[in-house]
Amino acid sequence: MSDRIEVLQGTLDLIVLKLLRSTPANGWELTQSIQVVSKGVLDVNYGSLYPALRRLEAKGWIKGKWGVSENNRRARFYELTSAGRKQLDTERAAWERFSNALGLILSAD
Amino acid sequence: MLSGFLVRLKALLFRRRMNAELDEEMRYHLERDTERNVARGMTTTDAAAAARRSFGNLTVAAEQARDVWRWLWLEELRQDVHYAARSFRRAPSLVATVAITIGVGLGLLVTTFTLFNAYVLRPLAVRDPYALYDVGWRARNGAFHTFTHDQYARITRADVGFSQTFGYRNLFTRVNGRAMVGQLVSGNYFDMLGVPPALGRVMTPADDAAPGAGSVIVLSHDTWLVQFGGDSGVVGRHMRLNGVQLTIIGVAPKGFGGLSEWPYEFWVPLSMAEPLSGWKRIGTLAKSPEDTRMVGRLATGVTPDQAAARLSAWLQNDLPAGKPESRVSQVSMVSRATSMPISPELIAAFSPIVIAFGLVMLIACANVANMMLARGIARQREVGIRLALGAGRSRLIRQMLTESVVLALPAGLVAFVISRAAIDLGTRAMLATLPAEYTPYVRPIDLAPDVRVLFFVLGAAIAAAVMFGTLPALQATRPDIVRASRGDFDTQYRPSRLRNALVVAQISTSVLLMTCAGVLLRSARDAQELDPGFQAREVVLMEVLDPPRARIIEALRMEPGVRDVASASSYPLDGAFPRVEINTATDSNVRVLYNLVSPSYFSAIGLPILRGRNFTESEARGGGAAGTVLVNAGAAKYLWPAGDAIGQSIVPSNDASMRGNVRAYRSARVIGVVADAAPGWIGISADVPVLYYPQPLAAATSAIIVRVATDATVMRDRVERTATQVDSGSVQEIHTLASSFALQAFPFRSGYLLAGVVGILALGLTITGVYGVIGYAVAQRRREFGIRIALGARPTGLVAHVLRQALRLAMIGFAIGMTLALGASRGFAAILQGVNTYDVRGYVIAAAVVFGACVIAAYLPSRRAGKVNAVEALRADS
Repeated sequence: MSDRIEVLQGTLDLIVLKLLRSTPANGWELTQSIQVVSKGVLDVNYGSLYPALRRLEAKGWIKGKWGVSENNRRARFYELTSAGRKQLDTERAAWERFSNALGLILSAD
Repeated sequence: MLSGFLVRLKALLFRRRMNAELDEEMRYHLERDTERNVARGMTTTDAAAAARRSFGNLTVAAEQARDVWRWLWLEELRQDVHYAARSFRRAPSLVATVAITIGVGLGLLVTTFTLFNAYVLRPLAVRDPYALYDVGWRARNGAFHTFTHDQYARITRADVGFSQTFGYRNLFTRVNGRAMVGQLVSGNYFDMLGVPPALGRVMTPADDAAPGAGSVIVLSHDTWLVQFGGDSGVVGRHMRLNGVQLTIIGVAPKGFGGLSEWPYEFWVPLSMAEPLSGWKRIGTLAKSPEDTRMVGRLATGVTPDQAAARLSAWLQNDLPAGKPESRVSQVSMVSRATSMPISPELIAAFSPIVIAFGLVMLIACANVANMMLARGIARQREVGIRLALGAGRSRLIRQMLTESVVLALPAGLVAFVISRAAIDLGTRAMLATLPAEYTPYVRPIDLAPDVRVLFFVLGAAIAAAVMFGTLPALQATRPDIVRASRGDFDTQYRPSRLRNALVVAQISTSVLLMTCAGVLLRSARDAQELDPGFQAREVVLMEVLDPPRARIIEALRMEPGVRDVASASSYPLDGAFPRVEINTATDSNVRVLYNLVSPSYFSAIGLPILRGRNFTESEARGGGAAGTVLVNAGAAKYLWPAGDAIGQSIVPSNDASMRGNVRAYRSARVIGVVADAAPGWIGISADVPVLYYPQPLAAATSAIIVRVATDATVMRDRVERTATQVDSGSVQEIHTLASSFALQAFPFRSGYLLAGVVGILALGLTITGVYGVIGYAVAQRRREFGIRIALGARPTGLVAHVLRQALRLAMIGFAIGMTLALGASRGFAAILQGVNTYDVRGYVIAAAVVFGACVIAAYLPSRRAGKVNAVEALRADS
């Protein structure tokens, strides 16, 4: 357990936007993707995902729709809007600048 | 931004469904997670527990998710409104008191706003009214000019920034013994305003093609209903106007009364000006009179200033070179978008009323603020507990303000009802008290409430709530209320201080309003007994067309009961006399008033000649050539303070802009001095310098003044009959001088009456305020009074103690109010001549009334201080 990292406040938004970029997904699928893609390193409190989804929807970056899940049940699927796509690009650029800078500082001396 | 708003709005409207969906979504997650865990080989119970564990706190997550989509403040507002409504249901007397108190104050303001809205804010029902401007120009010497008909025609063709223009003149006349007011307008009038006929057709440029042609008339909808009973066969019928036969071609749509606060009753082509006026101008003096007014529609993209500048340049070019002071100084553009344009005069006339009403409103708010303060003290235990439990102060203040708004809304409703009643009553009272001869001229415009009035009511009610609710809310949520709620008061806690300050403010305002009312009401009595300087009774005034004038005068002189017939260029009481600039041996360019009169004028209206002699008949026939003039006593004293006026000479300035008819009186010698009399308007003091020049009895365009032997009201009808027998339709206006006088006194009288009503309302509110505060103070100090009585204090001593406190407040308020009233009097003195603003009796009466009322209002509750039962008061858990 100790080798897992808790997701920082705010980065969850970026992760969700990135994961929704390729294909719409429901909440549970998102949590699974986070696990799989981060190779189990990131520890997401699944409960905090739902407020984040609503926040993103209120900002107009994603849109939720009821659909049928792969096990044939009613589930809410989220997809990226065009505003969300733009937001992803800016947030991603900002993040890369930040992590580059952090890398420079940490690798100095 | 917008999508966020929509999501939240949906969440607000379908809260239940949204919450159910969230639950479903989370339930799906848990089930799916459990399924996966089972698939990995866990038992069903372990799988579910693991799913829950990895989800975290389900309730918190759901709560957080729900909050994201909510407007917290809106839900809190709903809670607050709900809570307030519930607590007020238990206190209906409070709601009723506030509704009436605030409703009365607000009602006055809503009434004023309804009038202001109807006249000044509501756009006229014509095409694009905001582009319409009434145009005139001012010379450098300040004289106002309109246009000659020829100028108007050429401006219409020139490009001065207007896409369209129409010319007009107003026409006062009498039809079948009834006064009518209409307009002569150019043929494009209806087309330019986009006003279609309700019946028949409207006027077209073809009707206005050539002078004297186009004997047609369009009636207003009201005239059609009232005078023709709404008969649809009216088109094609004939009616006589000023002796000219006109064909009725159509009826204007309902609600259309032209571009004025004064709804017109008919429209006739401007080409009919000559035959309808029947005026033969004093030809040699003014060959083309400036008798045409003009309204232009600004072309798109042209500002009023640009159009004014271009028209100014056009006029500079067009006007003949004259003295520099008669050149154009400024073109005036008055918006015709609404019935009444906003002007400094309008603001000056209405601001005292609005200020007085506003003060009444403030007194009402102070009353309610005091009630709310008392309520806050009663609730301090509740508030203290909530603060102690960690409620935010701003949250509590917001809740209390919400309560105030909830209280103010029924008050707004009451105000609205009061305003409707006041308008209805006011209109009736006006028609009932106006001199009967003038009521046909009074046609109020539509005063029905519209959206703007409703918004005003709502906005003003909320503003009132903030005014009476803020202080009590701040007071009730003071941080030290927590200690106070435990009964732990320290010496700095003085809740009565604020309440006392509010009462002092009320008493001051009340003294101010009552003093103004007292002074004005006393002047109202004076105005009714005002002496215009001449004998107003038994005089009939008449305006007739020129062609039959001489014959009418002859007929009148034969009429039994007629003592004297005279003529004057200005009525004795019909608006101020015109001005002229004169030079004398000692002074130059003095501006004085003048009137042209026949020799019989002075005896006809009973104006005595104090010194010197009257004009002779031959001087009257000679007019300007006679070279004689009479002056009033005021002029004699003003122009020649030391010497004798008689024999002095007066020369009118040779100024092209002056009214043509005075320039004929090149140089005149003073032959007599007449008594001072109101110069056309009772608002002007009688000793303002006035010159009387001679004119023949039958002088054109003059008013005919008839002195009769008996009752003027009866004789007015006989005089009119005699004149119409000579020539039907020749009488344009006829009045008794007494009712002209009553008409001029009317605005003063109604203004004073209004001041009285405002004063009484203010006093009533102040009395209830004082009563409430003293009553509450006594109730609050019951325990203290009980102890004092137990220790041997005499009941009368306690009553005196309370009364002394009340009197101290009254004295302070009284001193402040008097100071303010003296200041206000200075302001009034500048506006109202003839009102003695330092009328000592007015002050004393007002002060005594307010003071006495305060004492009585304080005495009633203070008696309760003496009746406190010591044992009961000490036992009671207060």
